[in-house]
Amino acid sequence: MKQTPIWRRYDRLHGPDCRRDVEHELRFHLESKVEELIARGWTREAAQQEAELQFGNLKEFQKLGEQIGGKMERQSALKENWAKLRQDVGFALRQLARDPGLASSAILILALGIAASVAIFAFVDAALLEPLPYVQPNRLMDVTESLALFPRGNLSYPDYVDWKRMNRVFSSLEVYYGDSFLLQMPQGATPVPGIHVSAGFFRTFGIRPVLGRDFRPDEDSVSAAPVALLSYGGWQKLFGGRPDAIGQTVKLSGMATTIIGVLPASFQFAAQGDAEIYAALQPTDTCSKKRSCHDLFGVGRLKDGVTPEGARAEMKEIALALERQYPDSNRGQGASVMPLAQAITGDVRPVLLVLLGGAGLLLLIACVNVSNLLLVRAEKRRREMAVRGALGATRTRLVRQYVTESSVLVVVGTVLGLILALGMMRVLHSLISKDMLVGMPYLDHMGFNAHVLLFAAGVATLAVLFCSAAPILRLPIGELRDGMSDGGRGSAGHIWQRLGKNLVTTEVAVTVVLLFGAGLLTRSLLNMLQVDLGFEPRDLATLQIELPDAGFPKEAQQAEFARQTLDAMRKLPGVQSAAITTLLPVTCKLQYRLGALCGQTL
Amino acid sequence: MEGSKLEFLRGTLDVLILKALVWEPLHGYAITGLIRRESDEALLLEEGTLYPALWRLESKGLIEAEWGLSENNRKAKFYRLTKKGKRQLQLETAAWEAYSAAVSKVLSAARPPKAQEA
Repeated sequence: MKQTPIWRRYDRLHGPDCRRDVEHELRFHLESKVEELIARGWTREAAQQEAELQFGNLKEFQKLGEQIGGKMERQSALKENWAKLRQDVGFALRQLARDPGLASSAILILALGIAASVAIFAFVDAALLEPLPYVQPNRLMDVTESLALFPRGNLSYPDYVDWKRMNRVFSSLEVYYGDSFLLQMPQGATPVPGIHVSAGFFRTFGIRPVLGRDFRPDEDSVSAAPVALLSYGGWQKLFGGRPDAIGQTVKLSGMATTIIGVLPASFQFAAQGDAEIYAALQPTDTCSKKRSCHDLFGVGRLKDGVTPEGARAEMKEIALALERQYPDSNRGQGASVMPLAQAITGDVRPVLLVLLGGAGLLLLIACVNVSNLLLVRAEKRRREMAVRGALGATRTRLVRQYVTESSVLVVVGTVLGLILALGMMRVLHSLISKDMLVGMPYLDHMGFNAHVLLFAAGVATLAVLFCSAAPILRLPIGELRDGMSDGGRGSAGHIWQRLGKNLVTTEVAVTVVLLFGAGLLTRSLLNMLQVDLGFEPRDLATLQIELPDAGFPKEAQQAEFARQTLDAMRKLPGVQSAAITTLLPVTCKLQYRLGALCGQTL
Repeated sequence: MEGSKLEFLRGTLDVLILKALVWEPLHGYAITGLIRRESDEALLLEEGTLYPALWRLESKGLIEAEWGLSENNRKAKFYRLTKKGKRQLQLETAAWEAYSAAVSKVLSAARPPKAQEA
């Protein structure tokens, strides 16, 4: 190979062109061949024909060459970009290391902001975004009666029977109510949280027992022998996970009940999250016979093609028909149909959204703060940027530098923020009272899943954009010479001042909004704590007593039991007075089965 | 061996190209000539097939290309063996020698081989 002449070196100054390269290379081959053949005495035409013949399918090879060449070019472009990126990151790291105070405070601020929003988002995701763990959960509806005062009331059993018979919108409509059972074990009676469900309840959810069998369709009738299923946790706790629990007959609140199955560990029903026993709902008690006695919640699965609105309209009509038929008991009783997920997370939704909004504002403040810090530094670096610009760095290159620097800050901040968020999530979770957690089993699965990580990535991207925007706006574009001659105190100084002022204004405004929000929330909480109950709650202690119906069938017996209990309690040291009620003041539990005693301690 | 044109398997062509470049950088046309001459005209290939093989080797990083001037003062693409290519050539040569020795040993067997077990 001869020395390449100097002009050849600039041959490809305008970028690679693999198409031309392939063409040149193949043409060189053919021409050399032709020359060789001519030298051996062939005529030019014959030589050309022979060369092409020996070469094979020229077009085919040319196409192949373009393909391979294109691929190689893409690879080398990628490599080049990668190298550029590494160079940028290295430079950014050196720049940040030069001012460790600024870098660490920026990273810390970002980490806090990101941690807060990611932690809250994890809650939002677990409660509002993750689907319920049932088959086609969005087809499941919460179905109840409604009153003007009580938009999501309870169903009465006779109304439920009519609803189930008359509706054409649900493929199945089932009812349940939470209860506390007294389980009589050899070692004594234990109160066990449970739930009464109609026979098709688990089929409606698409859940099958892991052990034993589901209820048969008629096992919730008055005449059927009482049967119950255990939750997985209940099976472990009450029966030690022994398979022979199936088929055992136990005394459940005085009723001999046969255990027929165990539900999967993954099954949870948020309306009664701690339920350990699911007993067949048999309409044997007095309440079930009265149209005016409401103690049930309904859950239905929509038929294909039926919308929640359609179902609501139909149920309202049925309720209206029943109201006309039974004007005494059903006056003013409408119907409420809403997605089950909404019914379950109803209370939490606004709280979470407010928190998420707050966290978002906090993140915004964090970004503005970091942006401000970077802006101050950009001001100091005007000269440097001007020099680099004058030396040939393009505008894109300078912009890229700033973006890389804020990316480095944000990436480090995000990683730190995620670690912090993990801790925050634990703390927040532990702040929720146990009683409330029972109704929020969906929070058990909270953690870093794809949604949360995606959210973190989105937040990080926004943060990069936000943090690099301000310094980029400050790039001395078009006024490079001004920038070089002095630190830039001319017209650019005004822009800087305006921008800085605006940022500060935004920050103060957001802070004020956040402070007001937090203040109002605190104030509401204080107000709630100071509501005049009409009595003095201090020194009052409450106690719940379960009374099996079977042991005390007559009301006189129950009254006698209550009298004896009260007498005994009054004799306890420290008790000043004691009383009994079925419903404690300031609670909203429309249940008739609970008795409660109040005692006042000294 | 005129007429019994040996079919080129892609792997064989690759190793021949690597070998051709051991001494000095060459352009494609020179490589065809070299293979033809060194094999005493036994290995004839459709000359075009050489190029895809060259490009593939280049994309694998076994050889690298540079534009230069040929003996007849034309612009030509010269290929040079990279370090990775040299290592590959050694590996393939060793493998080829072992393989061909085994094949020729079987082909040159004079007596029917004695069965070890019936």
